[in-house]
Order: sequence, then C-alpha cells, then structure tokens
Amino acid sequence: MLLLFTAGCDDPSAVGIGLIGEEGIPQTVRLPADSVLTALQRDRTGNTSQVLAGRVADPLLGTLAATGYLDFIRSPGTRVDTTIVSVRLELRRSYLYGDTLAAVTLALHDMLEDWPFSGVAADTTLSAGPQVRTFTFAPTDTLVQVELPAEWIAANDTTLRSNTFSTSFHGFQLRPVAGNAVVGFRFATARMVIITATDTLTFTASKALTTVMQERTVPLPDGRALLQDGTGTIVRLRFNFLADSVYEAGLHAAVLDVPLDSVRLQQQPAGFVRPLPPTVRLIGVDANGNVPLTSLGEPVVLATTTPTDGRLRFRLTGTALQALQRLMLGETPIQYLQLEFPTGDNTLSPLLLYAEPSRGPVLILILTPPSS
Amino acid sequence: MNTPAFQRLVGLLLLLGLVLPAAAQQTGEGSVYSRFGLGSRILYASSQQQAMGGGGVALSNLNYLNLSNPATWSAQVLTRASGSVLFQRLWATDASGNTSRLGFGALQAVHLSFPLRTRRIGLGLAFRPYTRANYLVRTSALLAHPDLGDTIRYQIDYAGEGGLQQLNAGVGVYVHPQLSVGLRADLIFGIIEHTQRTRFFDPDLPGLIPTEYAPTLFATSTRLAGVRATAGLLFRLPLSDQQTSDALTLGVTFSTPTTLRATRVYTLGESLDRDTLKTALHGDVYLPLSVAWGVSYQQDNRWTFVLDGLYEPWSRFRSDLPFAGYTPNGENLFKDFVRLSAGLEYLPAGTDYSAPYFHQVAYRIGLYWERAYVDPSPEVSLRTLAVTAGLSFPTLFPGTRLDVNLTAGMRGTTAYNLVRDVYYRIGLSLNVGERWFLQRRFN
Repeated sequence: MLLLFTAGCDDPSAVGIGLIGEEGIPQTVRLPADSVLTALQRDRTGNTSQVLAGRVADPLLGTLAATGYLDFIRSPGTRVDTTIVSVRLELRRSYLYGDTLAAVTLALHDMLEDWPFSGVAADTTLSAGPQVRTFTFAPTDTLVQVELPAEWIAANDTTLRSNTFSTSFHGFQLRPVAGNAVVGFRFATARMVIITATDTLTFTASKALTTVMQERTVPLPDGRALLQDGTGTIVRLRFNFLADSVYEAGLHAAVLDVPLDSVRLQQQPAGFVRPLPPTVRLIGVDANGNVPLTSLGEPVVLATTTPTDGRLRFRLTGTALQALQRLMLGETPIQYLQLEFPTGDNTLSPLLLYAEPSRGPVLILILTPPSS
Repeated sequence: MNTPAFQRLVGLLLLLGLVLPAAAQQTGEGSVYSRFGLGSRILYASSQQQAMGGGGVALSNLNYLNLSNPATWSAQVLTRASGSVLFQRLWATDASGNTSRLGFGALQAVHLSFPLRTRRIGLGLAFRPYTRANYLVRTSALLAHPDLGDTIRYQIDYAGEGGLQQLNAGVGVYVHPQLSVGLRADLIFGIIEHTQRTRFFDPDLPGLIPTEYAPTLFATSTRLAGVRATAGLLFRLPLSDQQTSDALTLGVTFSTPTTLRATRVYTLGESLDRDTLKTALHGDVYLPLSVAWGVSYQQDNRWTFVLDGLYEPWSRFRSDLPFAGYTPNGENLFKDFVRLSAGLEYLPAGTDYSAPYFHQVAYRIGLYWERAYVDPSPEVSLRTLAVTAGLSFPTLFPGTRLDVNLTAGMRGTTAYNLVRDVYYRIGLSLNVGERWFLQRRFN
C-alpha cells in the first residue's frame, strides 16, 4: 500500500525548469566537409543486374568504352534433338547513356575459354575468340535480337546439343564498334533462343561481366568532384568531428547533404542522355581507405539514397547513427565517409559534386551539446 | 545472541530487502531543489525523533539509539537494531499554477548498537543519508528542422539520483550522573548523479518513437568521500529528589569541518554502454562544521518535550568542482544552514508494562523550520516548514517497537521563478531490542 502511495499517479512536468535553465535543448549543427577527395577503386561488375556494351564520348566527362560478356546455360530438361534451324540472342535493353540518335554497332565474339566473373573488377582484360558477327541497332530499341550466322551454328552444332553445354560453351563478348552510346542489357532476361525443326528452346544467361576502359578524359570544372559508376571513381569526405560544436555531443539525427552540379550535368547535346545513377551508397572507410567489412564480407553501409532535386541526401539511422556518434567521440577507425555505387547497379552514370567548402557536402546534425 | 533476536534481525533484513528494490525504482522523483549543491540536506536521528520534529540532541531513550548525539549512546541496556524506510509524495507548483506530482521511496537508515557496559558505555554503528539528490523535471516541445524537412517532439528529463551517505561509528561514555560524553567518526561518501535524457516522439502520435532519431543520456556523476568527527555532550539536571525520572537535559554536538575527495565523470549513453566524456575531474570539497544543541524535558516517564537547533555555516563551503549554485571563484549561492525544531511525546502507560495496549503506544507530534544551505534565487532564502507526527506501537517482544511517522511540509515559494513544494512523508521503522552477550552464571 505504501508503495502504491508513492508510485501511483506520478506526473512529472516542467515545473522547476526555471531552476535548471533548459540547458541541453537539441540543436542543429551544420558541419561542412573539410575535404572532398576523389579516389579510384576497382569496380566489381560480375553478374550485376545488367551487362554494358558500347562506347560513349561524353563532352563533359570524356570517352568510355564498355565491353560486355555473357554466358548461357541450358535449362534442365531441355534437349536439342532435331536439326537446328536458327539461333538468336535476345537482349532487352535496360540502360542507355549517350547519343540516342546514332545507331550503335557491336561486334559479337566467341569466348573460347571459361572466364571469371565473381569479384572481377571492371578494368580486367579478357581475351576473346573470333568475331561471330557485328550487329547494329538503334540505342532506343528495347529489344535487340541478334541472329547467329549459319556457319556459327554449324560449327557449334555439337556443342549446342551436348549434355556438357554448360562447361563446353563459354558465351560471347559484346565489343563496341561504332556509335556513341553505351547500352545496358538486363542480365535476367538475356536469352539465347534455339529454334529446331520441332521445338524452340531457350538458354538463359548464367554469368555476365562488364569491363570498362576510360579512353579519353576531360578536365573537370573547378571545384567539382566526379563520382562515376563503372569507372571505380569514388569520393571520400572528411569531417572534423573534433570541432567544438560536435565533439562529445549527443547525436540524435543526421543527414548528409551532398549538392550536385545538376546544371552542368543537364547540359548535353541534342539527343544525348546522361542518366543519373539509381542509387548511391555511403560507407565508412579508415585512414588508409580500407573498408571495414561485416562478417559476411560486405562493407558496412551507412545509408543509401537516390539523387533527387539536385542533391544526395543520406538519412543516417540506427547503426549508422551509432557509427557517427562514435566518430564524434573519436572512438572508431572510420576516418572518411565514402560515396560509391552499389555493386549490383552496373552503370556508367556520373554525378558531379560541388567540392568547394562553401557549397560542398555538409552534415546536418541534430545533437545535444555536452553538458559543461 | 539468542535465537528470537536473531530471527527478528533476519526478519528486519528481509523486510528491508523487500522494500529497498521497490524503493530504488522510485528514486529521482523528489524536490527540484535537491539539484543544488550536494543535494538536499537530510537529517535523521531516530524514528522517535523523526516524529518529534527531527531534533533531540538532548533526548535519551532506552528504546532508540539517538544518532544525533553520541553522548546519549552511553545509556544503553539492550542490543538494538533498527531499519527505517521513507515514502514521499510531493506536489511542486510554479507561479503559473502548473503542478508536478511525484513520489519516491528510499531507505532511510539502519543501525546497530549495544552496551559495552550497561548504562555506562555503549557503542553504535549506523548508516544513514547525509544529502539526497532526487528530482525529475520534464520538458517537452516541438522542434522544426527545415534542413531535414522534419518536425519532431522532443522530451528532456532532467533528473538527479543518489546523494551522500554517512557511516557512523562511535562510543558514548557515562562520566558522571549528570554528564555523558560521546565521540563518533563519520565516513561521508556517495555518488551524486545528474542526468539529462532526451527522447523523441512523433508530433502527431505521441506514442510513436521515430527511428530516425536516437535518444541520448548525459550523466554527470560525482563521487565523494571523506571523514569527520563528531563530539557530543549530555548534561542531566534532575528536577526533584522524589521524581527521579523527571529531568531537564541539555545536549550539544560539534562536528568538525572536513574535506571530501571528489571525482567527477561525464558520460554519454546507457548503463553498460556508457562512454566517458572528457577527462575525469578531481578535487576537494570542503564541508563546513556543524553545531547542534538541544533541550529535553522528561516528566513522569510519560511526557517528553524537545527543543533543538542546528547550525552549519555552508557560506564557507568551498569546492574545486562546480555544483549547481556554486562555481569555484564565481557564483556562490550557498548560505548558512539553520534548523529549529520542537516536539512532544506522550506515553500514557509510562513504565507500566502491564497497562492496556493502547496505553503503551507512544503518541508524538512536532514541527520544524529549516533554512536551506543554498538559495537558488538570491532574492529570497529557501525555507521549509513542516509538522510531524507519529505512533510507536509496542510488539509482543519486549524492547521491540514498530513506528509509523508522518511528516507534512511546505518548502519554497512560487515567487522569484521558484517553485513551492508541498509534501508529505510516511516513515516506517522497526526497532529491535534484545539482551545479548549475557554472562553465564554458575550456582
């Protein structure tokens, strides 16, 4: 009864706040990036959502050439029993960067040996076999169908019928020949269709890889930093978490705001498209640029976002907020916040960031200053 | 030690064991004035004195150990142990009429005492509070963040927990039929923690906690420890040769000033996940002396009157560390602490142990006035006025009593941006007395 007497109906309020002084009201602090550094790392493109091929000469950013690799596998239970009438590749376009008005020509080469894809970087060079054919298409086409020549069918008839097709066939290389665009073909829907006298068989894509080569560079405008998928270009941001305004403060919420020079990105020749990357992610790296990995070998992603309204806005929550709090306490190996692209998105899409201190990335922190 | 006494002690410990965890959950919900200095000054001498205004420097009673004056410890007959708990309800009101309703429970004191030589030399050991910081002020408002496109409701709880305890060990010696002296060592120690917890809620759905916002808990913990000595004198002035129990008694105690070693740590985070901020601060905290005097008058073993005063010159307080109301070489709102109290006890049966039960119940009333040692507003001193009352019930075991005390008081004012506390407290105390250490007699 005595406990109920004391415990019941507690109703604390602000009575007496005048004696405390309302210290410690959460406040907003804008912490600009001390430095915006660009660096290169090896972009992984194996078995991503799309395979790229083509060459694009971007007047703003330079020339990039993408070479795609696709291998196919026979579906279980299918068998080529009768005469092969025709074989064609069906590639559904999912990405386009470059001139939409000029046709694109790609060369199709045989791959004579098995090639790696898992963990392979975009700057890898793979040797290809003889050219099968070239094919030309409008870059805006959503479906590209490539008929394989009769000579190729005859030469590969045994392989196509073989029970060991998966190991004896090594796929194709898609090499840029002409045009001013890089196109992406959706990996999940890439097919090799074999039409026989009695049936139509579909072989699905089993592995894919894109290699990218920077053939020409263009100096960037002053005060800008380039973040471009496929090229391995990443941006590292350093903030002074030891500044008086944030050091040992209690962090409540955080947003990393990265303004983009979308005006320049939107300046492009007629018919030229320069798509924005669908996703940008934020991770923490140490002083040597090493990325702390999870037990699964994945980088600890602090946040992801989509470019919107001319800026990247990363809202940090949960463990990301805790990581930032640790930075403000000087207790973490993380030294930089790194902007990069998820491995699963394989594009060449660029972002042009303001790198000047006055207009550059800024951390917007809601925090309680430490008590005096 | 004989078995019944041991069982009663175990019972007492069990009772405290049941009460204390519940009481601990309620800490941090008392007066906001306990934010200042080292916390609210707590004076507890015995459950008898608690019901008689809290004074009693000159009060000697065989049923209680008077912790305020070690000279009274000489007059012990039984080995005695006691435990007291306190429950409080408090209403705090500001000038706008806003009110907080708060409640808490806490261990008040425990003690163990026994005579080395009956009515001549007695020892005592006690654990009781010296100060207590326990408050909770909650503020809440909407916060708009145009940068984030958010509007969020935040709530900040400013709370205080802990306080200084004192561990007393001393001896009282009968020197002369009219004089006893006592000496006591007081180990003063404890942790005072002030916290600031910030939480966030959806502005439209107050029960919804947004995941984008993280709560924080800042804590400032100050650990202090030091030792002081207290000396006491007791003068008995028999009033007549016939009524030897009637007496006027004067008592006085003096506690030395002392220096507490203090360590202050700032942390951010919850319990085991706390991060230490800055570097720990170390320093000395100088506590002033304490002088108490009292007069008691006992008549016919039935009536007891007490009148007391206490003075502590906290204006001389010095500290290397800042406290609310005190900054080294800066703001100093500390004043001298003064306490006056008076009380009355009526025991209808006197020493007649065959009297009806309710004649053996002791009835007590009292009042006290305090001027706090910190004035949060320089314009006005912080005063407390309270009345006390209590009943002391005898039990089936001679020498053992169960006391229930009630205190109702008012502290402060709503003027000068202060708050007025109105509180009442219920104290529950079990006093166990037993004859121990009996000499074997051989016929």
